[in-house]
Amino acid sequence: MKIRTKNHRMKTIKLLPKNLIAKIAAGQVVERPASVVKELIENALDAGATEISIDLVEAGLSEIVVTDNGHGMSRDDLEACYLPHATSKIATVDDLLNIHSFGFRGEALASIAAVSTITIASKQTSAVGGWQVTVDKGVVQEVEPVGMPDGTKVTVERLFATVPARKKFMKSKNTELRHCLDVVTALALIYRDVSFVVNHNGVELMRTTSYDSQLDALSSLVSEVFAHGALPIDFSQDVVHVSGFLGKPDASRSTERHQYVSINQRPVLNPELKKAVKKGYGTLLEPRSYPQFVLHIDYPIESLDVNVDPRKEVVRFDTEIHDVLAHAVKEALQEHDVSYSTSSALRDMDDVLGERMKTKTKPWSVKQLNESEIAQLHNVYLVVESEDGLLLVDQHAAHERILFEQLYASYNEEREESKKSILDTSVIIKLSAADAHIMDEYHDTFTNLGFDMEAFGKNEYKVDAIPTVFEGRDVQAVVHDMLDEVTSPEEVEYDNMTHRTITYIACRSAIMAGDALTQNERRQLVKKLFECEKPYTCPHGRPTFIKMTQKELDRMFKRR
Amino acid sequence: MPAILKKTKKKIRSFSTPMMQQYAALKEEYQDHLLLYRLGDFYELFLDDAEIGAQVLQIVLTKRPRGKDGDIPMAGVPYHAVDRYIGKLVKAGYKVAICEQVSEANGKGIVEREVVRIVTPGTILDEKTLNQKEHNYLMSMCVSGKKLGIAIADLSTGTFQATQIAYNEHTLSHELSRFGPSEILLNDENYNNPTILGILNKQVDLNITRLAEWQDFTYKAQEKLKKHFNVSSLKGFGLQDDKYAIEASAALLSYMQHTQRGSVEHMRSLNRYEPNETVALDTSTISNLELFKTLHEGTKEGSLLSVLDKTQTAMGGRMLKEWIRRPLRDKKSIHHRLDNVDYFLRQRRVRHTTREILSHIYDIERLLSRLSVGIGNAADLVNIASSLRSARLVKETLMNEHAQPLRKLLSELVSKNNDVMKLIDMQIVDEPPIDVRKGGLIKDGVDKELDELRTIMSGGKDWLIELEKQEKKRTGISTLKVRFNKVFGYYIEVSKSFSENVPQEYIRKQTLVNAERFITPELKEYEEKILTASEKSFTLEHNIFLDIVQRVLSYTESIQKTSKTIAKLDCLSTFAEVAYKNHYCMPEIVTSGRIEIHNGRHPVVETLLVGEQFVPNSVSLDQSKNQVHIVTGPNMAGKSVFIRQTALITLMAHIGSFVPAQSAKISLTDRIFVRSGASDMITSGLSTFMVEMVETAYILNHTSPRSLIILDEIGRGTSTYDGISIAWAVAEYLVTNWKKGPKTLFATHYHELQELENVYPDRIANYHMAVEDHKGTPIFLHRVVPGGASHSYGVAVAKLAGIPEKVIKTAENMLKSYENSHEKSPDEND
Repeated sequence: MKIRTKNHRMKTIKLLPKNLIAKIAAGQVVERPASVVKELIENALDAGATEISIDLVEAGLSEIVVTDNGHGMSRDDLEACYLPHATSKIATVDDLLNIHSFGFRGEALASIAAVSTITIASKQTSAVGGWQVTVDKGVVQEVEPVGMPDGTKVTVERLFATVPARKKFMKSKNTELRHCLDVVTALALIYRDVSFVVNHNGVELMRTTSYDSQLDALSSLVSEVFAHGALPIDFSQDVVHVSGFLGKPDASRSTERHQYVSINQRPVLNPELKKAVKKGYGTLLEPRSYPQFVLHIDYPIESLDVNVDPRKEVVRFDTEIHDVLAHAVKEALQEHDVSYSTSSALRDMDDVLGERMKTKTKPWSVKQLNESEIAQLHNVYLVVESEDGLLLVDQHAAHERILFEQLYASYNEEREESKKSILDTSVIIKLSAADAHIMDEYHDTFTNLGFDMEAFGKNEYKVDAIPTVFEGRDVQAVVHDMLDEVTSPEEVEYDNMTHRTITYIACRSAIMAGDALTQNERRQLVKKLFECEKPYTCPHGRPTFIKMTQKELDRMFKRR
Repeated sequence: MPAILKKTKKKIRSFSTPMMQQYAALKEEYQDHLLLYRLGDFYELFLDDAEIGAQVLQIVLTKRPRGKDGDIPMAGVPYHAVDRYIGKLVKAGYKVAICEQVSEANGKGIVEREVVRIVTPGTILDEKTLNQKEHNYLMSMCVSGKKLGIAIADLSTGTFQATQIAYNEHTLSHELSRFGPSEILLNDENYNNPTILGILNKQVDLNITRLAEWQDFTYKAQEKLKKHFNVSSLKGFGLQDDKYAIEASAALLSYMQHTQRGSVEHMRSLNRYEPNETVALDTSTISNLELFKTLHEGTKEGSLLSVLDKTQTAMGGRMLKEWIRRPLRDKKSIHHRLDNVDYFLRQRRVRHTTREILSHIYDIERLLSRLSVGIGNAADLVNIASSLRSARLVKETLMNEHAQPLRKLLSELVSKNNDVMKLIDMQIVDEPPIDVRKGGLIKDGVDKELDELRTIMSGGKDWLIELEKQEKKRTGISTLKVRFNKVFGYYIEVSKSFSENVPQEYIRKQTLVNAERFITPELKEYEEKILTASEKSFTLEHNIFLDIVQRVLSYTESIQKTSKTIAKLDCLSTFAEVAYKNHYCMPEIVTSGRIEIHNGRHPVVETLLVGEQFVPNSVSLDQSKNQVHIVTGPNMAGKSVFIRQTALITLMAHIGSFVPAQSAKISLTDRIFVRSGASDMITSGLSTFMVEMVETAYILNHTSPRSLIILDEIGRGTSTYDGISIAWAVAEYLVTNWKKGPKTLFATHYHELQELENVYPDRIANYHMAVEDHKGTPIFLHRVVPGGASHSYGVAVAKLAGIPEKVIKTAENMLKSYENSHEKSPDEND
């Protein structure tokens, strides 16, 4: 649904009557470069642009240029547009209740002009040439003719240069840039028929065009992972219509980024809406993870108050929309038959278990374990009685965690003797030239891990010792595996490399799902797990155990 | 500058040493060549060759005292760097004959030597000398009476084409500029024809080879070609009746065989091409439109090619240039390309994946050529296999995406390649060394004998391990180690603290701070055994390698076909990528005779503006009512950009690219002419005006109603009255000579020409570049608007350019008096 209409385009800029100005809450519109970017893009969209480019220098702090191919302004409009409360978009108090455009408060350009040097050039489609005016620290310079394409180009320089207090509040350039990109992304997700290009210091950071397929747009704007599993949602109830895409639960992230909600084609940040969506996911999510989604809500304009804050980022609804939204999400997910676990038992218990998964797990210590027998389920899980309930332990994940911490400790302390296993007979391994090159590069890492090897002829190595954990394994295979591990494509940092190498060793050395354990082994495993620094997850991030308190059990069995 | 291949001096001395006698005999045979004579690890140039080589290559010229033969000047280059030096010599215009040792030194007499390869500008194969993204064409021509036979080949890629057309100056120079060959072969008769030589001499960077062997090379020409291509008739190539095309082809083929000393097996087919199948672009148009390089700096940067060439492979890069040089005139073929571009444009992910895979593909064509003429190595094979694997991956990716428009193209990525991949993958190691004679190329398990030799080698190594164990035990030195380094091979190392315990038979080799290094006779004996096995295995591996090369070459056609398809996919996805980045639209190809461009832009200029926005313009031309637009306006207002962008958009549409415009309907065009009156060809010895008139004559003689003509300030090189009169007459001819005339954009300073609109209102319309007068300063709006211009703003422009105020004042006064006294004086605009 397109809400922008032709008729407001025809209106020219007027000063609002005093009574109307009073109705509009005063406030700071321009908080950071991203606010400027947002206001200028919204103006461009209001002008019917189909191509918008945003050029930033130093995250927008030295320069922001927004160029559009919209219908442009006449010379008269240009001379009035930077005055406070000048807008073409509404004229009377009644219009305020019926807002179709982004801008309406008549504040944007005036606010920006107050804290920067702003140059506006604009050409109407019907005109041969355009006009240009510069307002430097509130001082208006001469209006001049200029040769330019149809549309408007606004250049904002030295933002906050005259407001040192504000400038001081700016975060790092990276943060400011990220805010700018977030603003563009949110709008680009809504206006799919408009091309957006963002350049920063002359480097292109983002580009979407109407040529892109839905999938391509989602993957370039949100993420590849999100786009590939994205589940479409299309839901109507009464006056509310929800459409867009929900990320699969396994595409969830640890932050709230990549959650996009728009109402009537206006991006909003209302936290309660995001919470409602998360509620819709329910137990499909792991604790402390956030789903990714792109949702468009259509809501009757007359029941919506967009004039809540000056930045227009939060809106107010007449009716309770949150339950509708949560319901819509839940239904869409059910429709696509999405479930976190294939175990039906887990799904049946969902509410209770889900709640528990989300609550922060308290630190545990060994003494809280009871001395009772530990049962092994299907040679995969251990069932452990605890002081106030029970624990389900994934034996492989738990062992991985234990080994990981041991290996990590030994890696750091470089206790060579304890981790090295001297071979009875040295082994000569032959490597490809590339692998040999990598071996040379990571030789120290290998040594620290407990390998003892040296070059022996061209591309050949003589191995005299290997880490104890590999004892009895094929030396050639171990070295090749390790090389593959260090050269896999994501590899960049040394620390990360070490982490991955150790993770790899831990995983390969750990007892597997399916291994039968003796009572003593079970006990040792659980004991050692809770001696770990971070017992809750395995090095890959999967949970090592799930806890159920007696209280929860009682509740499940309706004892209380 | 064009150059007739330089000849070296013919002065052969007689010598007393066998080696120099051998040299003299070879040199006698290759008098016109620089003879690179292999001497151990060097290639040597002697005598006069040495002097030339030392100068061109900037290497040291030494003298070798040879008793009664006197001093012999010589200059040498190391064998491993020889390709680079050959490249330099050839670039400097010399032919180089490479003479190798063909027998092993046996202590009796001198080794035999033979010329194994001749390198000329058109037959060079060194990757570093060749430009990756450019064809290196070798042309052969044969004019007889009114007929012109042409054959053209790129030895480095295996393409071979020929045609026979009517001969005149234009057709010959046209074909030369179409291909831009680096060397041309011709017979004595044609060489002695001053007209032909004159045309060839105008061509930039062309080396002319007068082929003394022409008669011999073209004897039984048909048979020669049939035999090489293994066909019973040349009918399949469409050439059976074209005597001169056949003669030129045979000469070209024989010359390639002659220089390569072999059969050039990778020249697998001969294609006839028709010059009339493509939009004709003459030399001036190509340079005026700056298709491949800029007019002034001569750089690729700033040309149309630089905007379009985002190709990922060398083959794609070469094909793109071909496409630009030879725009299509067939609506169906153009649409086929456009549809494919459109597919890639709309599938961003597929496009990115495809281009990512393409970027890993090597220059298959040139690798294959290198192998074919015997200068390839094992890495070339591995690179061919990995490229073919990537090609298969491209096909799979696109098939999985159900890329419907690409179906036809994908079917050309043939399955025979799997055999080639298998052949190479199973036998050649993944990362072979460059030197094919030093072993380490062939995988284990390929050849039984090789495996056995290798067992001896590695068995020796096991023995070394065993030795270490034994010696440790025997001497009681726990730190004893058998180690290896490049300087003295295998040795025993003992740390200093144990040096007392070292047995007597150990031979000390080196003393370090903490350790000492020893060898034993036993250790060296084993090392020797390993080395002998190594030598044998090296020879064996080289033979296996040569066998694999032969088998791979038997798939030449299939591999070349794959390479062509990859090049096409590269070009098409590149067009999509460029269209995506630069906001191009799909042109509509029509046959109505109209060109309608809405908000068109100049593809190059728009990318060069910094901080300024390019102002688009629309244009609508047809063959009657809007046949000629007279465009006036001051300098710097954008006339030239506007008229050229119209030609560029038209050209781009014909090569299947999207175009920089909001929308465009482009009628099929047979020729595009672009002329600029300002181009000074000082080097050609013709006056500016003469050049202008020669070119104008060319246009008037060659244009058809389906052509597009862009004239920028024609008639400028002479007096104002002459200029106006000629320009007027040209315009009049264009609108009166045909019922439907060629579409023409005519930019001019002569405001008098605006009068033409009144004389031919149903053909000619005036347009001008809009200027806003802002308080006496002209502001250029860069927009084309209907009607004629009234001012030239010449003085205002001069002011903007920084001409001193005093001069401006005088000029303003002069202008006023001129305007008052002769209201209609033509000089007002000059």
